[in-house]
Amino acid sequence: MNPWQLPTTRFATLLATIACVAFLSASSALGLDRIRDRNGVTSGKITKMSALSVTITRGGVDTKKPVEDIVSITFDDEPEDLAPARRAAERGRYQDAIDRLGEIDRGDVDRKEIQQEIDYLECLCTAQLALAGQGSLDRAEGKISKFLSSNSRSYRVPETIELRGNVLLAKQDYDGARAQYAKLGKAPAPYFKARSALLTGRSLQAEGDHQQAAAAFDSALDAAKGNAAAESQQLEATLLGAVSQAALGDVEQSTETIKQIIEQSGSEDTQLLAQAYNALGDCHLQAGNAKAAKLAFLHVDLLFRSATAEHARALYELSRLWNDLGQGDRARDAKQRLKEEYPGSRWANR
Amino acid sequence: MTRSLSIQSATRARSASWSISFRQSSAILTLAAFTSVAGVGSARADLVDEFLAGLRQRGWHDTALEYLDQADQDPIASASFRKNIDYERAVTQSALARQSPNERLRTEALLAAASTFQQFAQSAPDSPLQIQSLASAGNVFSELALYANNKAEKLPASANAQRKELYDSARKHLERARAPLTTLKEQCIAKLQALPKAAEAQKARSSLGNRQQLEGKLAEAKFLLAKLDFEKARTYSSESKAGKKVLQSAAKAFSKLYEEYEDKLVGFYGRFYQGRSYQVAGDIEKALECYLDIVDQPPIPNRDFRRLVARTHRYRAECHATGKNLDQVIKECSEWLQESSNQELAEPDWLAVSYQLAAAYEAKAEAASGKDAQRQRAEARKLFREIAKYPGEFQRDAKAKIAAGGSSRDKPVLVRNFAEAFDAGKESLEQMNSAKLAAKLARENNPDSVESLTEQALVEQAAAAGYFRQASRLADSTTDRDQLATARYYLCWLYWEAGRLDEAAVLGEFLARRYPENKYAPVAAKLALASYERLYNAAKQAGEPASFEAQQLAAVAELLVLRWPDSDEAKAGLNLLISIALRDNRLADAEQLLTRLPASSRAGAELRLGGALWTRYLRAANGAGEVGQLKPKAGKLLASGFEAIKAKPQVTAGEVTGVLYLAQFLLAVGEAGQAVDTLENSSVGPLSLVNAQSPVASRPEFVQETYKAALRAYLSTTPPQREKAQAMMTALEAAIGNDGNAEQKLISIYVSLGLQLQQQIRSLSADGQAEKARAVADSFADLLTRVTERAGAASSWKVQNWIAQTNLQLGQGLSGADAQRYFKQAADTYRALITKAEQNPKFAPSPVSLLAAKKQLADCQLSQGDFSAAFQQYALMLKSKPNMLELQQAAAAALQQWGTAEEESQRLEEAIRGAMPQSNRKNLVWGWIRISQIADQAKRKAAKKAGSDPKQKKRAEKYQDLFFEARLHAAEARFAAAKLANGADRTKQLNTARQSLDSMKRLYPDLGGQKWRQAYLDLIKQLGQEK
Repeated sequence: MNPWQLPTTRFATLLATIACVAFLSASSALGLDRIRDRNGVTSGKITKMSALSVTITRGGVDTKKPVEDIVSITFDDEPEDLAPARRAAERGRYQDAIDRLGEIDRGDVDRKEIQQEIDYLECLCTAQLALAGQGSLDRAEGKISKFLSSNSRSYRVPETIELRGNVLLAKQDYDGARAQYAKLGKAPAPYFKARSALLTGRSLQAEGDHQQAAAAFDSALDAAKGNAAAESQQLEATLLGAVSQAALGDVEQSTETIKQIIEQSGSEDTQLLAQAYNALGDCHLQAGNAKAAKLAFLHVDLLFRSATAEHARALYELSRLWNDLGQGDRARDAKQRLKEEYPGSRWANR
Repeated sequence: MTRSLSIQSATRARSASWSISFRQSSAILTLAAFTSVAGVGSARADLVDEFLAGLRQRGWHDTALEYLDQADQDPIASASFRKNIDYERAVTQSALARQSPNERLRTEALLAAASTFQQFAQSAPDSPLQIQSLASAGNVFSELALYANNKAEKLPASANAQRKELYDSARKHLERARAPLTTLKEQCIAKLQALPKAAEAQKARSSLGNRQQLEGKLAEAKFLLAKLDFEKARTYSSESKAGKKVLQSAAKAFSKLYEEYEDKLVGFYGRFYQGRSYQVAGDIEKALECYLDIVDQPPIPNRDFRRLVARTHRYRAECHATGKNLDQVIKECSEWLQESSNQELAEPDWLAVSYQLAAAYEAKAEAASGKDAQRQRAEARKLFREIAKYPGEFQRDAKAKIAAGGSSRDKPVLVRNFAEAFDAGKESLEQMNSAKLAAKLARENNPDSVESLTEQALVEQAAAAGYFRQASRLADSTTDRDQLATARYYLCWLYWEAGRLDEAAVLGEFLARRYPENKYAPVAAKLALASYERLYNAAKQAGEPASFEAQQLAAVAELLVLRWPDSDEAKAGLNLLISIALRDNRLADAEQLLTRLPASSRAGAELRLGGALWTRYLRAANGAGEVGQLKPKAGKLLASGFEAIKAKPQVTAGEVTGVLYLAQFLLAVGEAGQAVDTLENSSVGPLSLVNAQSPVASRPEFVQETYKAALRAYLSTTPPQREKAQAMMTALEAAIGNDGNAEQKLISIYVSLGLQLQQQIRSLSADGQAEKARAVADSFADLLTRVTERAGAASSWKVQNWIAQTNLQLGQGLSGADAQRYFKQAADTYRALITKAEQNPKFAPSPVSLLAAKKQLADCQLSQGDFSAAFQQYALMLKSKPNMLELQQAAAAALQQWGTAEEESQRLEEAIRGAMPQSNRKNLVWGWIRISQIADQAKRKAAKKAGSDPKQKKRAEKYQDLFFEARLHAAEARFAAAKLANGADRTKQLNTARQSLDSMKRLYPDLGGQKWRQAYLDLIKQLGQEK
């Protein structure tokens, strides 16, 4: 089923429910929903929601927000533990987020969108922990499937599809992952075209098909060109493209590209920086410069630990590099931390 | 004994008190007195700072340094960070230096760090880190002075010269420290004056912060400058004039500091050190007065201040003790300790006070008797026990005091259960360790007590073993499994200590197998391994079978590898097994074991195994079959081992020997360049280590072999490194010395090297690499000159003959003027040989040797183009040996060359038909036709006899070869003669040559086979083209 083309009847019913609930909430608490997007915060009442957009109404004026622009939504009358859980998840503290979500009494939550938000955050955190080797991938996939099958009108659907692809990728089900990423590409917005191409490229890269991966990253860059929402992905696509180019032999140019990406990234963009330093380490490894590679991976270990999957990978590389460089105790330290912090990670079990 | 220990303790305490380091005290000043000072550079809190801080926090200063070397390549390194790289490098260098266990390297690295700090301060006067850099430079120099002073004070009384050297060095460092600290002070004053007035500064917060920073640094500079004098005083006797003078100066400076900063921590520190200066100068009253100003302060809950008060109590106690006022020591120290928290009591400054109190009780007990003495001793003992728990300045002394007090148990403890036995065992174990330590300390201070302390240690050792055995017996189902394993481990260790190897081996193995989860299990396995190794060695030495021990060794090593694969014990086990396999010449086993070592720990074993394979290869008579496989295998292992140990900070003698083997291997396979790189590798290269006089490369044989390999490598590289080769020859000659048969040994080394180089020149010439061949030949000539210069060389026929022969061969391998030079040298040497042999008939080893020399002289002359002389020489020899075919060949060839070169048809005719008719009308020189006839006859004769005799068959082949050669040369000579002739004579000569060749072709269709056929065909073709 294509999540972007839901049956009209069901769509209408869901909207009706939301409108009803929203109305009741507004009249009872006089509160407002708040959509935070790239341009700021918009308050009002959410009157429509789909996997593609959210409509917020204030003073009789409807504002339609494309999903790709939305950072988060704070719902009127949401449980007090939800906001801290959301913040913890945004900062990569997934276990804290799960703990907070556990504090919420589901029986007190009537509004469908809030229930969806709680379910989504649970999915996200469970999956991210599993991806970092701190939980079961199968369990995460189960939760994601359940969410998608029962919340097809949630604005969180695209992110959840991507998450599902990522879980499948971690299970080395490359075709399965690509099938999920392809679903994203069916959305009309350039953002999702670019996202789909980028993620497809990443899966090809993981499979070792760097030629195809490079082509996919080029598509991502093309799709992102001139689109404000999609432009945010350009750095990542360029970075991943450089990794594949390096694997194809163009190490020198790739190294320069990665360095430029690091220079352009903000220091708060932990995930991208972690990815970039791991990529830089790869380039140095390919160039036979073990010492420089070690320093690159050390950046991830010391500075970007919150990017858990990248951190696990960096620890793995460090455990090997320290060994090769005759520092057995440091190699053991890296290996031990990898096993302790990411016991289920594929890096820990290599 | 007690007295001497007390004296020693006091000395130690004093030396430690001095060592309240500059770094510590300056940190206290910086943090406590002027809290904002620490904020220098805090604005640079970017990612790269965090990265560097992370590396430092883990103690990975080496990696931090590595990072700083390439930090400008790091995209997150901001411009401001890049400006401060040199400062950060200095900080890292100093931290890394402090990690070094090697004192010399540590000192060098600290000096380098101080220099970097100073350079930074000079090159970045506007940097906010400039003043910090100056302070750091001063601190590093002061730290070095402290090291030297502390070391000097630990020396035995007799080591006066060494002590003086250390004090001189300390003074030098202190003087060095003065310069940056004085600059720091001046800069702070200047910068403060340049700041806006305080009232204006109030308006701008940043200006105010800056002022506070500068004031803080100014106070630090003043304090550190004053402390330089205090430290300097340590380098003199306190009674000396110089010592008194610097102490007065220090006291004055500290007093000024106290006045200037009266209500601040730095001021109180000034007062404290003023007191210390008086105390050291022996003015106890004044010292106590200073200390009182600190201890008399109302309670201030500031942690740093409380530490200062604790420290002051310690020195007040020392002053009181000097004045025998022990009651005052007990009163003040007890009161202070009572008002301190439990957490504080474990801190070093409080432990020092406890130690003073304990020492005071002990001294009181000495003077008392009865119950009082008993009570005071018990108090002292209680305090010593407490102090002994914490590592630090007084732990050793406290343990020694406990041991010196004798065993606390006069009778064996009656144990009723496992727990009691375990506790009793541990108590005895501690007593044993304390007694051992006390015995060690007493060796210097109280030799008379060593024996009794050693005896006490043995008694406790036996007691501990007994208790742990009982513990083992008393264990039941309720006994904690882990504790039982621990008891057994202690017992195992005690067996090992007592030399009861069988028990240690069995118990260690048992623990490793049955209690793998216990933390001591891998160590127990290692003990078992070590015990079996000793048993194995003992059996081998006694000539007894050792297969059981070898099996057990293998089993325990297997266990270690299986259970704790990443542990150092497992690596030790495998390495041991490899060593045994190598010793027993089981190379295949060693190879197999090697694969089980983790890649990162293989280097040493690879080098050992590679070395064993290489030496076996060298010993082998020929390199065929299985032995032939040894060479590449050895090379691979040695290369891999070498790559891996490059990064190691220290290498062993065995590993360096492996690297030398690698260099030899590379030379043997023609990789001279790589051999040079290997030998010169800065960290593990044998030549670098020999040059650095490293202890791992000091064995004379190793040194000589290194020089030999280096010499050969320098001579064989492309182009050869002649200057380095000359240096190696000088070094080699020095290493071999001049006693006994050193001269002959050296010559033999050179000759052997020469033979290897000749082979190389031949290979290069054969490959058409004339330039390279000439370059090697030139460097080889240096070697020849060196041999010629050796005193023993002139008197040796063998050496002189080799020199001559080598020159001749070198000439033959080259052409033109290059060749002529060598021919001349060869001819001169042969002439000298022959002359000497004629003067002294015993000089030549045999008449044949002399004859060969003469022939080679003629060969040289021929090569030089002196045909006449060469021919005369051959003819002269033929007179005594007319039937020597080799000489006849040479003479005919000489005539042919002569005729061709000088266009003399007469000589060509003689080359064909012979020359110098004798009285019997036969020619003395046969010429090619006669030679071919003789060869043909000899061939037929040999062929007839050949049958199944391979010798005769070979003989027949040889003569057949000569036959074809002679006929070919005859035809060539005829052709040459034809070319010189005109008209009918020319036609006739050409026809003769053609007929001769036709006849050869008809009679011998294969024209002498592969060796001669082509030459004949070429000649036939040339004749065919001639009209």
